[in-house]
Amino acid sequence: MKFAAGLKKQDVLRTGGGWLVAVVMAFPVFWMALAAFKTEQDAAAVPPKLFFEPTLENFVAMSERVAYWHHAWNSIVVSFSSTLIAIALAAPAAYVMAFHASKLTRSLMLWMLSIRFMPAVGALIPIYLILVALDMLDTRLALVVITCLSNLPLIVWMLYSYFKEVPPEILEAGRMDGARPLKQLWYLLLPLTLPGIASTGLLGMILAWNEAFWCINITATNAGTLALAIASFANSEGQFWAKLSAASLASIAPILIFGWITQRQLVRGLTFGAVK
Amino acid sequence: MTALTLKNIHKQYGDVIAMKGIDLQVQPEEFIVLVGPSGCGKSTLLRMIAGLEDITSGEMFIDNVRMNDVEADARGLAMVFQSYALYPHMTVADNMGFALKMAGVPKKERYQKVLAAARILQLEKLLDRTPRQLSGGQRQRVAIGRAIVRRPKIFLFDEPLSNLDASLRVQMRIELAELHRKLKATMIYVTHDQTEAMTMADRIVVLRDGSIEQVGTPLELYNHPANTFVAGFIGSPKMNLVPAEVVEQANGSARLDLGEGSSVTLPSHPGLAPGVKLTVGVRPERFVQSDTGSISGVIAVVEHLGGETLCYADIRPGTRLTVKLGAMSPVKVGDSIRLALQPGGALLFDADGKAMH
Amino acid sequence: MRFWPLLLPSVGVLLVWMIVPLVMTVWYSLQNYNLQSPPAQFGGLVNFEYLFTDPDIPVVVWNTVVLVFGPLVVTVCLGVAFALLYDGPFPGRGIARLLVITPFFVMPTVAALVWKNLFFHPVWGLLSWAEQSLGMQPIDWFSSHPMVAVVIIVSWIWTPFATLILLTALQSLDRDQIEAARLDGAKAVSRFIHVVLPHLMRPLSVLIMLETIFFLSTYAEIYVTTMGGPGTATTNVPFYIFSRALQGFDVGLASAAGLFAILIANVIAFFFTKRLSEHL
Repeated sequence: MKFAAGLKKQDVLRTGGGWLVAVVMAFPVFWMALAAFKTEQDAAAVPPKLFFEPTLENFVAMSERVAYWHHAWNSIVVSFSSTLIAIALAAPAAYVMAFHASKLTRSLMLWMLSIRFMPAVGALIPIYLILVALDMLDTRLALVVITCLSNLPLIVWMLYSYFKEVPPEILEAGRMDGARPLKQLWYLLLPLTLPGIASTGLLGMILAWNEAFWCINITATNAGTLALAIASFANSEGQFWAKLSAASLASIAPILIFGWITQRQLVRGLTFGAVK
Repeated sequence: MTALTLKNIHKQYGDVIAMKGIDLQVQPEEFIVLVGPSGCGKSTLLRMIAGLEDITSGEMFIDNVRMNDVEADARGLAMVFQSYALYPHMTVADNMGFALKMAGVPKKERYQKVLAAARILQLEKLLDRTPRQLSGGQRQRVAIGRAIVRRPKIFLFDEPLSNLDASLRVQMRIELAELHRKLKATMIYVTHDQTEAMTMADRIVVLRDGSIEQVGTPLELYNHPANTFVAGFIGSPKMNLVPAEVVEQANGSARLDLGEGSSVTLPSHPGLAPGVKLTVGVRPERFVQSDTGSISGVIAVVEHLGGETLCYADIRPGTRLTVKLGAMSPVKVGDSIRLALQPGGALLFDADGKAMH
Repeated sequence: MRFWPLLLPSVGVLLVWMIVPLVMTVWYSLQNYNLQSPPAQFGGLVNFEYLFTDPDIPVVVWNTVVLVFGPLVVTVCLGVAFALLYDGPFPGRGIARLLVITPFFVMPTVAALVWKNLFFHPVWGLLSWAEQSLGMQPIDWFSSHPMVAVVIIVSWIWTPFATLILLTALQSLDRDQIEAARLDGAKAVSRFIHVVLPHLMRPLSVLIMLETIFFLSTYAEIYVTTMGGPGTATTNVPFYIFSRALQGFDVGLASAAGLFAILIANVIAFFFTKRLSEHL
């Protein structure tokens, strides 16, 4: 059944449906982004305003109410360092699992993955008590360590899956050329898997950035990341909604971009390769 | 002093025995070929020598030094892989110089050595290219060049020619043989192609199912195979292996019945008592067309190769002989043919397949 | 096993990460320990007794179940639908796809706040405006339908995840099978049931297992919107533990509850890793 030249009913439905779904799903973010540029009055207006005079006052005032830059810096530091450390710890292990696999390494991998599935809440009390004892509540260091450990299994897995794509003969040739494992890693494996490592890094940073559970519970004003800053607005009145939207937009924008770039790797990573 | 000594090498994966009872001595500057059908363990053996696989039991000595526990990166050997395994992200020069870099050789010296090896293989113009930009033949040269640069104690080749097309393969065979002469190096070469083995080797090691069937020079293996497997494996076209039974023994000769009127008469010896069942091996070129020949058959297929003619004659249902005849042979399909043997043309193998002398 | 120095850093660190909290949780679950009145005293199975008799527990367990199955059903159904929709080309598909997956990358706290203030808010929310335009009384979602609201938020965040996974799986479907079915006269619905659905079974089971594990730990969305309320209407197991431990300061009880959370998660993880081990 054709509507117009070359345009089948099915195509029209698909296009219409596809775009409708896209708009509906993205709408909340869009609406929030809109609010970020409204004055508080406009943001609170009923009926909701679609057209208004945009203003940047919220972004300017963000720092006052939300201490945006301070928390943004914490977010950056925590995401970046926890991911970097995780990759450094994970790479050698992933190397062994990819190129010198044995029953032991397979069991280790499965064990690591099973840790990933443990509810964070199960470790909440012990970790909290330990941090209290060490006087490390509300420190960036504590958050970096915990975030790193939470994401470590996933990062090991992702590096492993990228390493496996390198033909083992190349590393064997390196061995014959006199390269010990760490040298093989550095001169041969890492250059060849750089794109994969980058994707892993991005994914790690996304997960670290969005991490809210630990942030809410063990950090506060000093080391809190943006996740916490936003959460502390939970009971805020609507008077600050526009500012909150601006802060929120500024908080999620970088990750949205990362996420768009890495969407394919996301599937591979989060399903642990079970879906190709 | 031998370049390489293997003593009673065993290789086991869990419960599966992959190699057993391997004993071998390789002399310096020898070109040894490990040959056998798929799964015979030749690559496994090579990798054990290289250190890429562990030796389950037995001992291995290189230059009389025990090497079982020495890491692959410390044995001083070089290997050319079947897939070449060039480092995709490095130039040809860096590929060839990598081992020297690992050994801490300074840049200038590295470059000199790389250049010298490149000259031997005519690779000077390609030094700045990456593997992606090379043809299959060029990549293979780089893989060989990478091995040469290291001046290893032994060169190991793992089926290096199998990924090349036929004409390139022939050319590379000759070049490798010349390389061996020029470098005066010990080389251990793995292939499944018996032609490569015959043309390149000083000595051939025939492997089957993880054991050595025979070790010898090409001509030794060709003329005096130790069993029916080696007899059938070496030589192309394959040697004819015909089941036979001794029917008569008298006056210093024994007559062996091949079935349906064909027979051969050979000088007798004690093992040839009447009733003994054995296998007669005859190479296709050892038949002679003769009106008084004792073997008779019907021609089923004729192949004119130009320089020679191959015909396949059925002497009885289920037994087809491959016979090599002269270039202009007039035989046709359906003709009857009578054959005799050249003196010494028959090899005898007992009921277990072992050569009888 | 000469590579243990390479494995040790990550394995060692994870071992500590797993064992220390576990041991401590077990220890504390057997203690009477209230942070406001230390020290801890051995209490035996008192905490577990209390756990089983706490009248809140059935509600909490039920909430947890609802919070797992609700979003699960929504995300899977929508995920399948969206994946089918995006499986074929249409103008601007790339951009539309980016828009569809956006919710997943939004911080859960931000996502919850957006929904709370922009949509569900009885005065300023879009939904209230829509309801009033239809002549209805604006609904205070978080008071009257808190669970529904939270389920909506979680579903919104995770539908892109389901969509991405199922879309990836669909794109590995052999087109020839569908063509053959079409030639055999199968209509679209029948093609879906007999060709597409079986192919999706495996990714679906992976998806369901993964989402179950993640939904069991829903936390930030609750914290930001209802704080488990009204009362315990939206308290699930993680939130229960949090409230008992960091608000009620009863470490012993929270640890006991924590053990259960770990146990349930372990059971599911066991099945999942068994499935995964086939792929390694």
